[in-house]
Amino acid sequence: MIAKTTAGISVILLALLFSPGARLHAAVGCSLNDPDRDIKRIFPSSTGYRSQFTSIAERGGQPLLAQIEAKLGDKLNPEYESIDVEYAYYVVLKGKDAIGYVHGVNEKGTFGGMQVILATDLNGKIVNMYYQKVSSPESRSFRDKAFTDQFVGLSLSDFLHHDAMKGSTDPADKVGAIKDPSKKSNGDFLASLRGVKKNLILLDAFVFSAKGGESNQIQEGEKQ
Amino acid sequence: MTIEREADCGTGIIYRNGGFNRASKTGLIAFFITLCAASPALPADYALYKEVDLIGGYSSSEHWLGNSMSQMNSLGMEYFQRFSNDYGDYLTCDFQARVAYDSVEPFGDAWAVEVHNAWAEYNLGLGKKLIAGHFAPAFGLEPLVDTHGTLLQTLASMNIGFKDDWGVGFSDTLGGYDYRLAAQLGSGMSIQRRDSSGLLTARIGTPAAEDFQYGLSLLYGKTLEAMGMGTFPRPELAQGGAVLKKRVGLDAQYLFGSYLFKGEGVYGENDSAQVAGALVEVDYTVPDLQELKMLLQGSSWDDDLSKRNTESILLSAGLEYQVNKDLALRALCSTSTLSNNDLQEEQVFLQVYYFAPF
Repeated sequence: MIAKTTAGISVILLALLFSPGARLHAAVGCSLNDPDRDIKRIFPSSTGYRSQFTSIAERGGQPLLAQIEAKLGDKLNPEYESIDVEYAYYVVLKGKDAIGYVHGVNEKGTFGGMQVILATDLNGKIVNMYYQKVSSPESRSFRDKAFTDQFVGLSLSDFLHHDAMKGSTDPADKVGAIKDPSKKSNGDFLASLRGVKKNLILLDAFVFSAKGGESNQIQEGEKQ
Repeated sequence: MTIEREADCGTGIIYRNGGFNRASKTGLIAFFITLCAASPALPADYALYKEVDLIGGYSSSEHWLGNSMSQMNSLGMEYFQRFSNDYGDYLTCDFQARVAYDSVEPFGDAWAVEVHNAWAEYNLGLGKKLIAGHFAPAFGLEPLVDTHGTLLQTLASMNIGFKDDWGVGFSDTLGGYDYRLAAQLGSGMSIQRRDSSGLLTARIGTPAAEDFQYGLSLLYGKTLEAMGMGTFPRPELAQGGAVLKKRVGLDAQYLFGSYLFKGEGVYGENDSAQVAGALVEVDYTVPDLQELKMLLQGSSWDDDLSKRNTESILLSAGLEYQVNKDLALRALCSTSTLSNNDLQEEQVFLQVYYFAPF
């Protein structure tokens, strides 16, 4: 009887392997621990959200990876940022209508991992930035709204403009105006900036490029 | 750890005098899989993973070991699926099972199918969720931390007797806090009900994204004590029937730089005996080699506070190295003391753990 039961379960497991489904995912890079609470807090009028999973491999492969690294100005880590890492982003809904996006990324800090979460409007402009996790002895400074609110209103074009303005003191450089809130954790500050920029680049690749939205801003930013 | 809840799958749990028959058990599993896997008319995303858990150890009293308290040599899989419509996500399902082999047992008795996660969670609106299936009781650290593949565990097995149980649950937010409630069978991994067994648990705590998290838990119910771990074949029960348990517990986690501190404390009764337990753990991520973690844990459990020498103490030190995103190597040394028979035992474990998409 036990053998029959075990065999029956094996058949069920095999059936699972061949069951229908829209898509198969690899490990998810950074999903929200509590999306309901976070989305309700950031978008009080929201009534729901739709989780979307995708990867660089799925959206464009090596050419897209090269574009992302070029915009980031840095190589992606082959382990925790590899081309097949799945990213979860959330389309925030009010009824059936989309009213924003939420997307998180993992970033390597000085003392351990951090998870940088951005909420944007439909045009890719940041409406909220927060850490789901930050392994820093000065985490309180990084989580302080006085710091995170400095990202509100920025979009990817501001980061690309910042890259173009390196070495100058352009008053329009909004990213350059963001101050390190820590006393001894500058590495975590730089990791945070990289995390926010990477988050916006990936969100642009996954969402806005298909719509011709933020990508237009990118091109404008690149021209400046 | 994946958080669990569900739709109306759990209503398929039906009691019989003395427990479930085999047909109803298989039917319950099949019901989950049917709901979660075969709805081609619904837009759905799914993930499918394979798992290999290899473990070996040595004990000063029992010599070579083929399993730890929580891990056995096993092959496993996990199936995760989410359903959405025009108004957003409304249903999430997870099924996680292993075929485990205990090298210490005779070959014919060494095999077991372990069902770990088997739940479906239905979204009743932002924050409100209903879950049914096999999931962690709403008590202590266990529903918050992922111990599925790790050598270090929470107090759940000592306290409740198991990590997951079959039943239904509900979760929601209450101001700045999250709470969850669960009503379960009290049988753990196997599906059975005897001696009016059943388990009610509740936990309220701070949200999961804060550096400092804490929670308060309550438990009431009669739980069954199985002689082994497994869903199929169903393990034999300890003699003496169900144990009436009452508990109150506090738990906390604090992330500070490279250190993650965890702790929980429990007080209550087993039938008429007063019991208490505590656990403290420190995880340290090496800043210059963040794939490497050093772990220290101490736990104690007292089965009867009114008597002497009823306490057990376990001290553990471990290393965990994440080779890549799919593969982890773990080592653990522990010393345990059972004061009632003055037994002290040292153990060493090595584990290779692989978890990757198909």
